[in-house]
Amino acid sequence: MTKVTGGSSDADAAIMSAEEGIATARDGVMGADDPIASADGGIRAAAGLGADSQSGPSRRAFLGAGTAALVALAAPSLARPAAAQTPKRGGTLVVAADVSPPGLDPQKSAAAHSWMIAEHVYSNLLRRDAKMNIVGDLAESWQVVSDTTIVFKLRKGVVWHHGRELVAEDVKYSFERMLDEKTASPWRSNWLIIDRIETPDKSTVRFVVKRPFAPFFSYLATPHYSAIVPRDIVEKHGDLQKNASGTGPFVLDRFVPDNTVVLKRNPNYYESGLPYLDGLEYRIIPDEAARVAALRAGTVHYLWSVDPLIDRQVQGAPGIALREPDGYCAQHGLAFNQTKAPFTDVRVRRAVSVGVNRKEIIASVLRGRGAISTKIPPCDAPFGYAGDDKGLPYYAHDPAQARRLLGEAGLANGLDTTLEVSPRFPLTIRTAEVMKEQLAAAGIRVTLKQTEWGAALKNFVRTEYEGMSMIPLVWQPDPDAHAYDIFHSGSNINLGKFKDAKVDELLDQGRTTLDRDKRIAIYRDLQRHLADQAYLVFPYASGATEVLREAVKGYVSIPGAQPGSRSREFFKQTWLDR
Amino acid sequence: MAAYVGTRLLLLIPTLVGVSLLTFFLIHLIPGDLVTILLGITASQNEQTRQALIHALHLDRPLAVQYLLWLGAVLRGDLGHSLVTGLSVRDELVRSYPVTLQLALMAMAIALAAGIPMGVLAATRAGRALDASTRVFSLLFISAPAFFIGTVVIIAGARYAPWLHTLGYVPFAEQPARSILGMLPAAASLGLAISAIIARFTRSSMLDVLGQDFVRTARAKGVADRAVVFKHALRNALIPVVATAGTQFVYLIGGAVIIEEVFALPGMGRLVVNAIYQRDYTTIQGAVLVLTSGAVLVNLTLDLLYHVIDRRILYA
Amino acid sequence: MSDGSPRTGAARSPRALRSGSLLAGGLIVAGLLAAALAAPWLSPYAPTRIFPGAEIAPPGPRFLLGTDEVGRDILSRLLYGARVSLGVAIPSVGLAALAGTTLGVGLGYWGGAPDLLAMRLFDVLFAFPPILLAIALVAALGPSTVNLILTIAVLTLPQFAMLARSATLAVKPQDFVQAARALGASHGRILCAHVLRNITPALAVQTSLSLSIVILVEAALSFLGLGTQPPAPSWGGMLSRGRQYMAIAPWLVLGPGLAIMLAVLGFNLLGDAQRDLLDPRRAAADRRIP
Repeated sequence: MTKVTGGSSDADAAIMSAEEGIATARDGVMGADDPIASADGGIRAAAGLGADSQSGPSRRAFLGAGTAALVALAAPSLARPAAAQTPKRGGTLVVAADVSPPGLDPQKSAAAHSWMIAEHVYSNLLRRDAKMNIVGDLAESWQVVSDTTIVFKLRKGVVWHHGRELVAEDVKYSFERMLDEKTASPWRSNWLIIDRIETPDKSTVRFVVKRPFAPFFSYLATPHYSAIVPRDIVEKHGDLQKNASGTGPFVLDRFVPDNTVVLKRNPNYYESGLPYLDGLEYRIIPDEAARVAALRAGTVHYLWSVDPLIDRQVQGAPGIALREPDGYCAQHGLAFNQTKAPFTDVRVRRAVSVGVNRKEIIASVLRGRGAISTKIPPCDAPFGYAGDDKGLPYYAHDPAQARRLLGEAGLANGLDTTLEVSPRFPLTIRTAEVMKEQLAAAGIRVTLKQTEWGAALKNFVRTEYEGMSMIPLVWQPDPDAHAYDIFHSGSNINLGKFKDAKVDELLDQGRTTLDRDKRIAIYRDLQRHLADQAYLVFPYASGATEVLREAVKGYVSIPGAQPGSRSREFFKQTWLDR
Repeated sequence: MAAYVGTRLLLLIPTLVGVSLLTFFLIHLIPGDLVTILLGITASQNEQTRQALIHALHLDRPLAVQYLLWLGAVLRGDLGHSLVTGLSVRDELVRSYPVTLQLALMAMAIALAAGIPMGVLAATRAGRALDASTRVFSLLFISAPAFFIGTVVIIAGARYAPWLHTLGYVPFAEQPARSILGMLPAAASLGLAISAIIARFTRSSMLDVLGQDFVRTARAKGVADRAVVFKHALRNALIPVVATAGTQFVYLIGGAVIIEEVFALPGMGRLVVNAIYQRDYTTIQGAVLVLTSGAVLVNLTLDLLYHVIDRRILYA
Repeated sequence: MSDGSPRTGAARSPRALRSGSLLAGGLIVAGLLAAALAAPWLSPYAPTRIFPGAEIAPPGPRFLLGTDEVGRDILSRLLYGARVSLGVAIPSVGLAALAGTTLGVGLGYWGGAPDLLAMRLFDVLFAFPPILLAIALVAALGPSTVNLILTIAVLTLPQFAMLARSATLAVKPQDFVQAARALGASHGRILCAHVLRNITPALAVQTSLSLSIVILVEAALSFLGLGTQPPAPSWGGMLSRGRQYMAIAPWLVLGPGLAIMLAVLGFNLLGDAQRDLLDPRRAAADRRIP
């Protein structure tokens, strides 16, 4: 648990201390120490990031047919003591990516694949470590002067890729650019809470916010929300979509849309000694079968997959390691059109919630790689429910209860309705198919309506669908970000278009309460209430599985190994055993 | 002939205008909101953010005005910028068109080189073993979907020939040999399927022609068999074959999207499909202009070819 | 007169080929139709029934052809898939053939200004990458089976029109047509008696090819996620989704792959037989053989 020097107010401690819930839960499940990860801890300490007292988080599963043989091969390295291997320098790590980044400007692009590059090129004031604790990045220390004022002290000697030194003015500019309407930044509304930013000297930045804002630090630690960008480069090129200069561990070398993004090592990176690699290459290969084939052949070193049967895809191939997600951060959300019958009736919504068998879906669709979830996923415990459904009403599968509820709502003969989904995400289709079968046993006859993604997304956000609609939802860095816009009646999004005063009240409190324990309690209340009212139904939280060549060492993954949660930040300490 | 070609080329302009108009309104008919896609769920519903983006992209003007603005810019040679990435449409087209063109040419070359001889051989040896085996071979390649053949090639390549680099693209201008070699698996996956079609058409067309009166007349006059077959029959047989080959080529130019997806080739097919998914109107418009011009030119060439092959066909 | 020349070989074989192709093709297509019609009685399970825990099970006593990645019986899905594939292919090609031929013959025969205009329109239609058109149409119309049939018909129509037109163009200047005109025959008679009869062989081949192509087009649309809606079984969809596991579970792709190949083979053989039967000059040539 990293605590950086700074003010000692409760607010500081509350927000900055680790998510102990996560560490305990994970260690309990994890079991044995991972010596390689401990070596990582050593590396990080050497790099001056602050020692991490607990061992590394990653759990690794070696795979498939020939498991015995592979484990035998792997066992020797597992058994070796921590100070086993010295990182070797050099080599380019090749990543197989599925989608080309539409542009590289983190302040303009809401596409997760843009952030996948930006997280290596740009730095932020804060960042998350491997256990999702918030630690300093460009900020060496900070002080919470009052509920509405925070002062950051910047590291000295940080140099931009294009040569000049990082100054406080750069930080101020970055936020002003996002707030400028002409930039049309998707993150503008996140920062409206800022009243002003002052730069008393070139290493100090003072933020003054209008009201106490609990998500503030989370947002500062989220790469795409708060990347620090240089004014001179922005003004030179107009934007950062094709050109980049940051302070991160890798420098943009080449961006060929639809083809490849090449990054080279930053020789002046402020964490001395890092990165070990000469460079990173993101090769865009849209077809998953082709990506897996490339990994098997050894032409790429790393890929991620949300296919629950990914272990079958790489079965039998030597030299490959599978890394299970450390936490489940991605969700699917099933929303109801609550502007008209039948879903205006809470009993009908509850019937859907108990008609669905979440455990069976996780077992069959996800092959066990998932957990029960509310809108705040288990990887955000203790804010989220960590995988069990105790205390969550209407989560237990009970078709008889569903029929009873329907009967009470006047639908004794069952219900015919539609579920709109998009084939863009095969997991959505599979989940929907299983749900359809399950709900049929509960008297709810569902017709699946397959809609093209652009149309489905628009319908979902504006509640312009018939009956129900389900899409995958993106992980958010803060419980407020998860819940506020979707559930607050005053929000333009409000999935389902409903109004619940209790929900509004809890959301407003959650946003402004700085005391962490109180906040946890608020969000727990909220989730229980949301489940009781079944405003949205969540079949599960899932995660992506990472697949690597065994020659890739030193990589630490963060829960939510998908673009957007800064999961591949630790490429900076990865090395290739060549 | 010069007048004919000239007229056809002049007609290109109203064709392009018509196509772009059609595309513009067709694309806007598709439900789905560009701003929602661009900004994501949360940001897109913030009114100020929405309006800022809408204004920046000129989406607040009436449709007709948007179209005229675009047309005016095109006449000045400016294809605009992608609504999604902000990159220049012209640059994106210049980058992706050669990839698709190279794939199409290589696939067509393989198809013709394999298909026509196969078809002729099968026709002249009709009923015998060669004919049957050719038919089986061509049926095999026609009946397997391109993405299936492609995946088999990639998987087999990964296992047995990892040095082949089946995926990705090396520009021809940079390393010609490596570029062609690397694209060979993709072009073959496409080309062999098309070669099967060409072979079948050539065979049936040749058989028709071989039974015709003028062939028998030529034989009766005592001209050597081979000369008969190749000179007279093949020329006449080629007309429907040229038609088919032309159609296939236009389709290839249109972008063999699936092969591009499977083999990770950054060509125009993928560009356009992604643009549709993302409602990137300017990119779609620009791409359609290029594709239309290409198709019209190919068709013009075909019509001229018909005339060259058989002077009795008037091209007017 | 058997002189060993290729010509005789060519003339002798059609009879053998004709009966062989007709028989084989007819059997295959009839078999597919039968499978499609009798699917409810032949299938061991419902095609959409999911067996949790039995994903990608190899062929065995319980699941004769194994299960797919969701846990559904492949044999049942193949049988019902025949309904889907044929139910889309036949109507769409029929529609395209009818409309396209009418258009193409008219243009080729009369020519003139309408031909010029139509050729420009065809340039436009051909300029649209078929995939682009398919996506745009499916997205605009909505993903129902009827819309899928219409979309595929629109995609296939130009090929019929162009072929009909170019074949008509080839036939029109020929002696017997000119002769008929000189003798005062009406356009209708010329069209039916001469033009159509002469272009029918090419069209027959095109129809059979189109039928097989459309089955592949549906597979392609499934690959892009635009084909038949889930959970309805379609061979193309099964092939597309099973591809990823091909290396370790070949039964996922062998079934639908063979089904597609059979359908293509059957229609092609039928087409060959049609050509041999309908071509008057070939028949005349046959009669001259001792």
